[in-house]
Amino acid sequence: MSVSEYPFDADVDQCAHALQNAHAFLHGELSSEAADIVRQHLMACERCLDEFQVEELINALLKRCCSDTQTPDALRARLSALSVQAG
Amino acid sequence: MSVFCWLKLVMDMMWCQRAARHTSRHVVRRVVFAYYRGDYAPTFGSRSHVVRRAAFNTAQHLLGCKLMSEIFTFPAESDAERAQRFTHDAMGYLDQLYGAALRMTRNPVDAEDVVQDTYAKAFAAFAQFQPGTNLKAWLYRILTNTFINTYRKTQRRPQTDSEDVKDWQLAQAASHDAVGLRSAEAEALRETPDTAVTEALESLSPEFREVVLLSDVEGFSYKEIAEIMATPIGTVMSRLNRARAQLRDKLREYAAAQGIGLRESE
Repeated sequence: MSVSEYPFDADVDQCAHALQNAHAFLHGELSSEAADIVRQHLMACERCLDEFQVEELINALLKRCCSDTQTPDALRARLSALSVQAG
Repeated sequence: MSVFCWLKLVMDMMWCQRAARHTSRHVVRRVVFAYYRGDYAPTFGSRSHVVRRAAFNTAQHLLGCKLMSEIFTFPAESDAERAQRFTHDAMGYLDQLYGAALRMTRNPVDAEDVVQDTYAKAFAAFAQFQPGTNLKAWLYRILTNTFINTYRKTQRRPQTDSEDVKDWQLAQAASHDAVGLRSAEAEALRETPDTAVTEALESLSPEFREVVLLSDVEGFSYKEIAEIMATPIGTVMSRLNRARAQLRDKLREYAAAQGIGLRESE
C-alpha cells in the first residue's frame, strides 16, 4: 500500500478497499490477510460498518425470501420416468 | 499412509493381479503404486468402477501399452447401472434446481421446462461426468446453460445492459449518501416484505440475477460460480458487486415509495 501525503486520502483508500471487498468479505471469499485489513478498518470506520450491516441484511433477506420451493409432483414423476425409461 | 491404507493397497494389488493374469507382478505393482501416489483416499468396501477405471488409465499412461485394454478387462458400467446412479445422485438436487429455475425464469411453466431440459441433458451426458467432482455445480452449470442458451432467446423482455457501469460510479454511489440515512436504510430493510425483495431481484438482468442467486441463495463459492457461469472469478466478483448495487438501489426506491424507514431521519 502506498503511503499517501495526506491522511485524508489514506482514509478514502481504506474505505474504497473495504467497500469494494464488502461482498467477498461477507461471503468469506477474502484471504485471511485481506479480511483482517477490512476487519481492522471496520473497527475504525462507522460509515463502512453501517454499509456492511446493510449488505449483510440484504444477504439475509435474499436467503429468507428464496429458500422454500417444492418441486411439483408431476415434474418429479416425469423426471423419474426419464431415467427409468432409458435404463 | 495409515495401516488401513496399506491394507487396502495390498488388497487392490491382489485384485489387479487377478485381473492382469497375463502381465507380470512387477508391472502390476508399478501400476498400483503409481495410482496410489495420486490423491485417491481409499475407503473400505468394494473396489468401485471408478477406482478400476482410474487405475486402468494410470496404467495405460505409464506403460503406453495399447494392449492394456486386453490385459485389464474391466466390467463397463451398464446403462441400467448408470441410470440408477443418476437417479440416486442427481435427483436429490431436484428441489434446489427447481427453485433456482423458478427464480431464473420467474414462472412455474418455464421453470419446469428448464428443469426437465436440464435433467434430460444431464442424464444423456452422465457418462462424461467425472465421479467425485462436484455434481451439484455440474448440474447448475447445465441449468445455467440451458436457461441462457435456449430459454432466454424466447424471452420477450429487452435486455438491460448494465455491465458498462464503471467501478468508480459504484464506489461513488455507495459513498455519496448522507451518513444520517444509513441506519434508516437498515431500518427500512427490516420492514421490507419478501415480495419487494423478489420483485427487485426479478428486475435484474439474467446474468446479474443468476450471480446473486448462486452466491446468496445457493451458497456457492466464487470459484464454483465461475465454473458454473463459465467466467473468470474476477468477472463473478464484479458482476456480483454491480448486481448487488442495483438490487440495493431497487430496495431503496421501494422504501422511498412506501415511505418506510424514514421516521428516524425526519
